[in-house]
Amino acid sequence: MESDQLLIRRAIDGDERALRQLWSQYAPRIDAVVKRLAGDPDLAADIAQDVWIQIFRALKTYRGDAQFATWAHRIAVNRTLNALRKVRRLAKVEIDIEEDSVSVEMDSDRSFVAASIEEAAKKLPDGARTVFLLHDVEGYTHEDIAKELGITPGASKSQLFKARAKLRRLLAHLVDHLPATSRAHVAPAS
Amino acid sequence: MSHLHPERLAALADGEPTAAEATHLSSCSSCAHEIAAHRRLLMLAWQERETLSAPLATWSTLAESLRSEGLLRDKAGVSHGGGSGRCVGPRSPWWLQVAAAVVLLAGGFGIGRLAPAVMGEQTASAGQPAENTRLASNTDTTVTFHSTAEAISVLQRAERDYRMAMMYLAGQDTITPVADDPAIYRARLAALDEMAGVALDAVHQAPQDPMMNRYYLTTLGARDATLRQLGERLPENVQLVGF
Repeated sequence: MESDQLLIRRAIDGDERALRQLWSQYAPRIDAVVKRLAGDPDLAADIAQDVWIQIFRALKTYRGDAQFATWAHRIAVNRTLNALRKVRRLAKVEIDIEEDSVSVEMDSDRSFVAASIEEAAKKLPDGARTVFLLHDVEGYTHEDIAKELGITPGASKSQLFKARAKLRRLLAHLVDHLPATSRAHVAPAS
Repeated sequence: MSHLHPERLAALADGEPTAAEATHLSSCSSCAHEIAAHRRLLMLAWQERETLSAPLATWSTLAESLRSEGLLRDKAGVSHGGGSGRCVGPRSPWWLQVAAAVVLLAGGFGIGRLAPAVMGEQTASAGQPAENTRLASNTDTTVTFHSTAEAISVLQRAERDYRMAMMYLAGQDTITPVADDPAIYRARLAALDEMAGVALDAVHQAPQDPMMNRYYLTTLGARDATLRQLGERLPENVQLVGF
């Protein structure tokens, strides 16, 4: 098996087989990140091509400090967020998430049963969804997220906790196995 | 002290409670339960990162763009198809990588015996460069791991891939008679719920045991798949609102 370093050197030289091999090896993971952040499959397909061009364009700057997958993942996230900004999906990070902890049973999503995190996350406003995906799924810190989205770390935390609170309800069937009578959790109004 | 606010409970999934909150949590099962649910949500989110996707673009389209960018060099003797090089041909397609992950899974469960010791190692080695490279087995010289944590990570990914592959194959199965009766799926869901309950009890007894957590999450994955299958088999005018 050829090492990534050798492969990358050949890819920098424009060797098609090396470029294709890198793409073939890392596309399942990189494209999954793009798909997750974009939310929309068609939009994700458009962005993915741009992401890969950017990764190959930046290959010369790859110094091997981090694993190639980590380095490429970073570019994918950054490029995807830029692309989303262009289509105005992230023009404004939404603050309100309509979280009403007291009237859980009155929530409009009461009848919504999400089968997965990905599906449930689509119910979140774009800003909160992006913060949740970046922090809890992609492993970014609040400081990193703040830089990427142009918000404060505090705002990132606030968005994250709102997002988690809503997801916890949407995915109750996956994370909560106590009897229904134990599920009602009434907190003080904020 | 009254119950903690839902957003505060969400924050405590991976945060430290204040002294007052800790006192409250020690006596309030409802709030403690909420935090436990949030931690399970975090685990699901973490697993989401291991999701693989079929490539969103084709190589021919991408290659065309790379050529126009001057990033792909036309070279005499190198076919543009690039698919038949003997020494450095493209790696297996994504679906074959997934299948390979399933093969990894077959031998991977043995690693579970190392699990209790691994948690400490994961903490100790986090963020540090790998120093010891271990072979997956004495005879396998192609799959190497730089740490036990890395091997566990691969194992977890393989498990997820396995579930995805099983779901896909279940959808492609044209030989086995497909059950259209939603009652079958409801019965399976009920059984999986019981299994999840047992697995969850095990997690409560050994919360740090990755093997128990894995069984629990795998059961949830199967439940997930069944829920989808049930939803697909309900009449169009019937919506699945809960189970």
